[in-house]
Amino acid sequence: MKYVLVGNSYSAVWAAEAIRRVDADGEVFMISAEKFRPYAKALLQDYVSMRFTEHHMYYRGEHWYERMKVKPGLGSPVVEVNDVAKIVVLESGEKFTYDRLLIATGGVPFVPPIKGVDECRDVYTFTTWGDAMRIKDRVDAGEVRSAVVIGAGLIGTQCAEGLAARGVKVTIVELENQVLPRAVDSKVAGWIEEEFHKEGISVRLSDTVEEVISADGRLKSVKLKSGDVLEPDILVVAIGVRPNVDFLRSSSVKVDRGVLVDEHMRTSVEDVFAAGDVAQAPEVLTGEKQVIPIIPVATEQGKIAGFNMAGKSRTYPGALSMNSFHFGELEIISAGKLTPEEGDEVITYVEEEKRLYKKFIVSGGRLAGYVLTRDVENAGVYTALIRNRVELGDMVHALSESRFHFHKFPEKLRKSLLEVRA
Amino acid sequence: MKVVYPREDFCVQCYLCQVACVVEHSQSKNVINAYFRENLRFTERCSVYAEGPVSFSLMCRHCTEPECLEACKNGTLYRDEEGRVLVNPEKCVGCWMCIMACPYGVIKRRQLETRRIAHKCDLCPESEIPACVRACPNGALLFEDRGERNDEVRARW
Repeated sequence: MKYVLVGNSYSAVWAAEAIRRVDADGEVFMISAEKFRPYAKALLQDYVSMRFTEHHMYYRGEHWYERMKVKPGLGSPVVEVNDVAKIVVLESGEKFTYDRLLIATGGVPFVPPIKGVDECRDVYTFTTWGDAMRIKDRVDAGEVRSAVVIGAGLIGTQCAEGLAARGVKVTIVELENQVLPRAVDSKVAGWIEEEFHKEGISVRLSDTVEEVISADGRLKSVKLKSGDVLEPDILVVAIGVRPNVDFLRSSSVKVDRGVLVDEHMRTSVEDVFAAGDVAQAPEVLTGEKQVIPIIPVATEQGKIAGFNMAGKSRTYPGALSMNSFHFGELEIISAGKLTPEEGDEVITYVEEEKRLYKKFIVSGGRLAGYVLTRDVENAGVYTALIRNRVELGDMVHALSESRFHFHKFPEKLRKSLLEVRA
Repeated sequence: MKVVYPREDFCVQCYLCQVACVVEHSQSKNVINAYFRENLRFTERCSVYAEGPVSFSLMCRHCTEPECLEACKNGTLYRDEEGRVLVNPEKCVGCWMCIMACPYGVIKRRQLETRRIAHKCDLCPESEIPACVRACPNGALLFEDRGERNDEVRARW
């Protein structure tokens, strides 16, 4: 059996490891446009800030490819998939045949057609180690005293913190009226904005960059929708990522927003699977197929795809959106639904001076989402309540208590969790 | 693989498991020194939870398919050859993705001098039987092999 994994990050690593648990001898190839062995894409800001070293960046040990008997093909992107002849073609011209193919190409940053953006060499994105290196090199060379970051999502805010830690004067420009609009509610967003203020990061909400003005390719200024003009040394575009699917155009693999997969992570083509930020898979609360670009979804999907590719049938229980991050001193974990709909019950608990916040959204008697700050150590219990669609019953009254845990569960459920019998 | 299972009907809420855990992971292996010289108070890797007459001590199950490993940003959490789920303290960046994902809620935050790292049960690598199990006066913690601790936890709920 010959497996080709297009991708070299979280999903592809877990797929390779799952394949090896079932099939010790099959040939496994991992193909990536990037030159590095698997690394932590979620630590780019810590690389720029130099809070952590290269050692912290690598996702697996130095000899992982050898140990897994995986043959890496790094440095050239895939440009075409021929699912009839079962061949993938690289930009370099190299071709790989496969018996089973995994598409784990992740996302690519979305750069909107801002006037003047294409003519400017000081414009960056922030989704790969290469991006982070290019920015860090400029900072190291003393060429970046100020920066504008477009987008206050996770990528933009983390990039801003990485730069600010190096003494760069950063302004974040966000079109919506709060930071992290898809990861936290407005209350926590306000606290994050305060942390940014302490770190010297300015935030401009309900605003965006309309024009990039440069001379000989060097950034001179950016003009905002509000009319203000800023003069940063670099501009980082972090508006969002979209699934990296362009190379599939000539194939018969069905693509909606991402590559559509079933509960076995199989695409519309029998021997082609997809996982991670590129895949559009069933979501656990709605059952609808969604692209949820987060690590625990990418790894689990990769694992499920790997098992199924190797012939061991495993079903994906569905993706759940969740995030854990911190800004300054403020630690935040959120999961599931963040905006209540009609009929949902919302439970909140706030200790303003401690910056302690708990918010739970209960939908049809079951937990559908939460946001926690500071007191986060039992977050996984809430995540599991959402995932397993547990009927809360009387537990609903205890949700916001400190150290909420299994002791608040009804006896039958508690005992089955504690004294698990094989 | 053997892991620790609590029995709530036998737990008397004495917290000796927590003390034994702290001492076992100290340099001195002495309770007074561990708490007062080495400042290890609140570094236990098991937690006692109590509600009315119900109490139990809870720690990592060393799942066969650990969700903490799937959530970890940079491969800090790993499984050793024996199946134990462990933290590489040098590598941990304190992002708490593991805390967000663990369905047993048994991963803690540990303050080191300059940073915070994930902290959890390691099944006491220096001992044949984990310290909490040895310390429990009423057999409320059992060190047993009950087969696959698969994350069919999800299905079990």
